[in-house]
Amino acid sequence: MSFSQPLLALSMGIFVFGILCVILRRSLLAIFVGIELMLAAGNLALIISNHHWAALEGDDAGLHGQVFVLMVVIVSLAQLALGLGMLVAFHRHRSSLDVADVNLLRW
Amino acid sequence: MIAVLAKTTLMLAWAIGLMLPGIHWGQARRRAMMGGRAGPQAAQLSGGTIGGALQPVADALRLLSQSDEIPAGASRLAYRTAPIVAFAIPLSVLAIVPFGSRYDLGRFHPNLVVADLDWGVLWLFAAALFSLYGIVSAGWASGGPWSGWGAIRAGGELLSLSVPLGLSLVGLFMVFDSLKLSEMVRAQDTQVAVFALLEGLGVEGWGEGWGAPLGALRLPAWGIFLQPLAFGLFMACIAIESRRRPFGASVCETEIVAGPLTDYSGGRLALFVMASHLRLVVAACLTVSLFLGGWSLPYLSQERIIASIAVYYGEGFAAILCLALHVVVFLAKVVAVIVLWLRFETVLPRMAEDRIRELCWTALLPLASINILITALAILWLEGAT
Amino acid sequence: MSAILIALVIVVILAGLAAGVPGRSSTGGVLAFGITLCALSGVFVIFGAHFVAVAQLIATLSLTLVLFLFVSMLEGRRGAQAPGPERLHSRLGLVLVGGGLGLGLLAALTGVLPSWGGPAVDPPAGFGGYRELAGLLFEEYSLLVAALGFLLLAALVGAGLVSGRGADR
Repeated sequence: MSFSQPLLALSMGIFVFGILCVILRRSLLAIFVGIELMLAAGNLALIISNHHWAALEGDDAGLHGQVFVLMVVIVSLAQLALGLGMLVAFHRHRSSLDVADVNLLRW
Repeated sequence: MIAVLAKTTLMLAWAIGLMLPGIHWGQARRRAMMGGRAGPQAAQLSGGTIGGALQPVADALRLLSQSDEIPAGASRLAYRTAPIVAFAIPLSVLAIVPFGSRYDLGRFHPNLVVADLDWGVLWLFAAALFSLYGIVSAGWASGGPWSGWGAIRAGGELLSLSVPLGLSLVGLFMVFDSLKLSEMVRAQDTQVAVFALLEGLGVEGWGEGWGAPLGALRLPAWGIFLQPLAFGLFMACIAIESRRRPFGASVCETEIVAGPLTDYSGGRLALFVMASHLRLVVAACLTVSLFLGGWSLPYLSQERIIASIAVYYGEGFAAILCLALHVVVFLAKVVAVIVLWLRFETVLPRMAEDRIRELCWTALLPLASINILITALAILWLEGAT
Repeated sequence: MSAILIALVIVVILAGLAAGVPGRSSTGGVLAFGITLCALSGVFVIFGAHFVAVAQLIATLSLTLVLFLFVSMLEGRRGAQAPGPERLHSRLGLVLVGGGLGLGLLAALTGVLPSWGGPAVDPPAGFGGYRELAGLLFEEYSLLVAALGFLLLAALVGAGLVSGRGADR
């Protein structure tokens, strides 16, 4: 039995959970978690597609999907580093991790 | 399947039944010697002392007989699962360690590795980070101030540690051209000519005449000879990861009262103590497999041993004898590394936690990068020469 | 056998998501998120992409550790209660979306939806191997690797500068 289909549905599910996390949670760290969940969902879809393609085409397909996944992992780590740096600076300024407190640029 | 189960059982029996009590006893003895007091070997039983061999049993009984208490502010699920995770993850790393080579025994072809993965060594890196779930969630779950600080310290050390740990082994991957531990050990079963570089430099005819002894000088192709800098770096990294002295800043008694383990007692503390000894066993096994030739005897490769014994006793028996010999050699090397480690452990003072992180980022990481550079240059040079 | 493994892994992922996402405590959420992504690496291993699975696992674990440390340091010990969804209709939205998702997953798992005829064959032998990946990275994607190196350097320096701990530390 092929598992590509339910796992692609799972990937969509993780993505939606990630979006829910970003939209509905008020803690900045929970929002980071949501962003990472969305990226992980994309990784899962990439791996499944690569598996599908490699199984169909054999050696012509190559492992480009996995290379993309590696790139996504690295970029997500870089984004996390910068984002957490900004979070630390924000916390030092406002002593709060509530996203509703990020309102300094409001008129 | 049966083979895997048999190998797993034997390995677990050896690690938990033999090595853990041995390390506990050895550590108690060594610390007593350093402290100038009587160690476990002075304990008098009715029939006289038996060298203190029952010390680990006594310690285990003492811990297991304590009442099972969970602190009031603890997060129950994490508090209960943390010791199990801390114990299970080092055990899983033992699965990739080769206790012996592949042998041809006629009907059986045993390969003395529990999990001969193509990407085996990568699991070591993942497990080094996985152990964070054990110690950090233990510290957080206990809910006390010292536990929290211990968890933060352990987390900071583990983060700083992962990069040098990975980079220090990259040179070894390049030299042995594999990520499979069993293949790495098999590659260490041969010898290298020490002065082969001279041919690369274009020096002709140096092997004749009075230069012949130099040409005949061969070292076993062990990791410690091929990658000495990586050996030092790996020992440092794996010592930090084991969180034993001198890198025990996350659990040191003088500052934070046992850190993440402060609120643990009884059987759970026993699991953590055993996990600490298990990390030492794993560190020793990995050091032996990666750098000290694993199961191989120096200058006597597997084919030579089997061929020389087979002349007298036949192929099958020769293979069995070689198997036993290799396993004994591996275990002896592991015990030797552990004995040396326990000696160093009790002598060196404890490093402060910010100095550990400073060591990782400012010393180990650049040295590992330089090691990769030198190894790559040497490989290209030698390949160009031959 | 692999069917059981995949089902188990999917259950762990869903449990992790259910525990982590609509929660109130941030520390528990971060740990649950870590478990979810580790189970995701398990899916990668089952599909045969070993090297990428280990890379994702290492990234996940370091990520979880960092987030956990931040939560426990900045939100107080044991995680101050971070407020959850505040308006009623967002809770309703959560229930609706979650319910629809659950039904969709159930349908996909039981095969009620029309199958897209994915391959039930195995990929070629070198799938997931580090040598083939290394070849691709070195030959076709070398520019990308160099660019990512720059990106990481920029992120490293930037994170240090933005968080205020400059070069004098």
